[in-house]
Amino acid sequence: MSESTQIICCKCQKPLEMKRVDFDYLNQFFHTDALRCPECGMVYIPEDLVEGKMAEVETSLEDK
Amino acid sequence: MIEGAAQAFTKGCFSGEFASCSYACPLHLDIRSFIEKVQRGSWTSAYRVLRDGFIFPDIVVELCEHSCQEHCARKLCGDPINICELEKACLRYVKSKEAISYNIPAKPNKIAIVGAGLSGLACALRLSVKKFQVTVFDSNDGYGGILRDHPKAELFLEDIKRQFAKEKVDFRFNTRIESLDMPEFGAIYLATGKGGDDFGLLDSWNPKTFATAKHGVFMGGMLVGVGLLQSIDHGAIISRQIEKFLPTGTVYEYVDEYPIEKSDRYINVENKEPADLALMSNADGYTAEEAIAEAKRCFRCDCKNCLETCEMLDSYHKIPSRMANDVYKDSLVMEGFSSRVITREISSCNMCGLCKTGCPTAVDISDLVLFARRDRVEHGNYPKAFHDFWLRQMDTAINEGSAFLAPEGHETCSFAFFPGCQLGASNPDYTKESYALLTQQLNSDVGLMLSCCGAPAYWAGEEEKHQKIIEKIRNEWEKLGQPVVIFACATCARVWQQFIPEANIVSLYEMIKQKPHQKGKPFVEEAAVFDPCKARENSQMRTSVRSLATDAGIKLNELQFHDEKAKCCGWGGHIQAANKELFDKIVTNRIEAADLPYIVYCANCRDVFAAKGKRCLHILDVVFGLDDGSRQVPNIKERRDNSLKLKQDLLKQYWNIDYQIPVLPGEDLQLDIPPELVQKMEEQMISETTVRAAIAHAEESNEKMFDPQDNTYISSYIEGEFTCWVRYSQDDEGKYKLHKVYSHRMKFTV
Repeated sequence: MSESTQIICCKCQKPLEMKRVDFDYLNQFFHTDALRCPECGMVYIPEDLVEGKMAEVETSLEDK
Repeated sequence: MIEGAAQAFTKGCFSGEFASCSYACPLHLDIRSFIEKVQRGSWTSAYRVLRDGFIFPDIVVELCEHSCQEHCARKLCGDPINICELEKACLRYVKSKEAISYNIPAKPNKIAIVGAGLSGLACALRLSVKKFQVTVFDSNDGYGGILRDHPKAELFLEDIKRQFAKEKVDFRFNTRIESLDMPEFGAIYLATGKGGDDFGLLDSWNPKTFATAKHGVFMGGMLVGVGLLQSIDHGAIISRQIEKFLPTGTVYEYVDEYPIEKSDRYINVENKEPADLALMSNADGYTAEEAIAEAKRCFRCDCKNCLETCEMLDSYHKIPSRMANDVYKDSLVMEGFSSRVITREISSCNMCGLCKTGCPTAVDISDLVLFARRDRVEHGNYPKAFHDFWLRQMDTAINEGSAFLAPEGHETCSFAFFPGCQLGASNPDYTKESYALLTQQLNSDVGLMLSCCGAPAYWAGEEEKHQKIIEKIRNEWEKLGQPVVIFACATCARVWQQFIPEANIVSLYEMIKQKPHQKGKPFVEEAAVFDPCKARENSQMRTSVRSLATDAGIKLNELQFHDEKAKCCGWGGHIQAANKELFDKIVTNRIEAADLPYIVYCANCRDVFAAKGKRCLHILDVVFGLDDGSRQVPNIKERRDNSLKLKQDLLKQYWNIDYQIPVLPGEDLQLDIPPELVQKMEEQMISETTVRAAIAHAEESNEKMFDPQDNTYISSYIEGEFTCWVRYSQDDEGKYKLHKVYSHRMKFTV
């Protein structure tokens, strides 16, 4: 996680914390830890995770 | 998926099979493999191929009439390969003809072979190599059958002796078999030769199984009426039939893997260089060097036409039959237990059908791909993200962007203009000018059909959605009185021809050409015509465009691929989301095909090429003097805006209808998007309308996050199959600035 962890949820005014986030794609389910609001659960996924690991997983789930 | 359903699409494909010559060979020698070894001067390897095919190579080479040469593809453009002399050369130059023995455990089964002619011997050798206990009976005092009287008998008998040298076979000569009641043998091969004793079984002989009425007794060779070389083949076949028979006592039908019809299949020799027969300096035969030179003339026929013409097939390097097998195998995948292997490949096909034009048996991979995509959509396991962008764009075109109108004051019309959704999206003037010209030429008897033809749904495998669009278009066309439909886009025309075949159609360019009009503005002196792939079967459209460009004074050049061999610009089949790398490669290959500006007549071709910096004029640029080919490609939002503004303008001008363009969320936001992000959004197909909607949603709902480090807000927004992330700031005047934008296909749970 390269980006700051001081990010604040505007709705709840709480700093985000590393917590479990559940994902699904093409009927496959998995989870990882990511920043989310401890109150309302709003999730933040940074650009480097999206364009790195997540893109890799998406590609591998689509095809061998 | 039913087994065989996918394979049916590639049934005619013979890539990977033997060459025609091998099917003509009575012993089905793998001639391509043999010649490849000779080309390398590898006589030992070449000899092994000969022995595998011929069993007794010295005998067969001497006796064979080489009908293979009559079926050589070289014959289509000169002399066939001199296969006969290459085989003789191999026998001459191989260092050792010594037989090879394999270390296999001995098998308990005993097999009797009655007759030590070539057929019986071939069967005996094949079985003894596999360590069956073989006994050969013959009433003569040695083996060879009718070859014993041949002038070259000595050479032949030497070959037989050589091939059996390392195998244990019980030869019982001077032994006449009186009865086939030999219970110690698990199977018997009756190979007594032409006119030999059939023990009363000939009438019961089954040519499909080679078995007879007597259980365990097989029959073949010259006894059943075949020639000498074919009798060797019979011996080999019966050795396999016996192997299958022994474990269970069941007789199976023999499947002929080498039907003679296949000997007339040829690869395309159009682009092959002619080459003369290699010289033979000595009447006794080729020297080693001469033989190698002759072997090098061989095309080593294996059809790869489709792979050679299509970047997609070449990049995966999978022959069509394997593709079809993979499509079937993917349908059996169980989620979480195994993975699919062909999703990306079927999603990387432009579905242009070029493969079919070069295929000797007209196999069309795009049919297979369409079948696969539809099957995956039907079973809910096709990645929707691959086509989501275009399907949403299509939804706009068939809903907000559509209009079906007869000329004002009329219910019906004789003609209707179907410009296609991308023409006006690229440049509204293309459609406006064309409609104005048609209105003038046809005395206002021309209606307007603004819509998408449904090609994105067709390409996405969304059969039901596509059918609904076609039904809607057909209904509207019928309401207009079934006018002649005028097309600017070759894809739309193709879709109509296929799905609304009752409609009479004509190309816009033909209409412009037919009627007197002002000569266009050439902008360029010389250009190359780039035919869209869907115009491959539309000679009228192709000819008209050339005529219009020439009339305007442009010197036209043809690309290497043109007219019936036109290649897709990269846009077809919507592959960009599934395989951007391949898409970029295809586009680059197309624009580098000629160092000249292109004249195109498909808005997609124009924009795909122009986006990569190619100077590219739509023929309507020339006809109406609109642009010199350097016009910037509109971005995704601008395309939508162009389409809806076009509808608004046309409805107002021709029907005096006030059409209100729907306002999208965040459209009125003051938003600054830095140029590098504009470019990124185009590459990743993220629309500015999505970004605006994301910011508007975040601001209205307060569902956003704040990063105090750089005073930016972060929010996500789901549109279709994508989750779009925006990081933005707002200045004191309320103006927004985008800092980051990215998207993913996975969904997460809040």
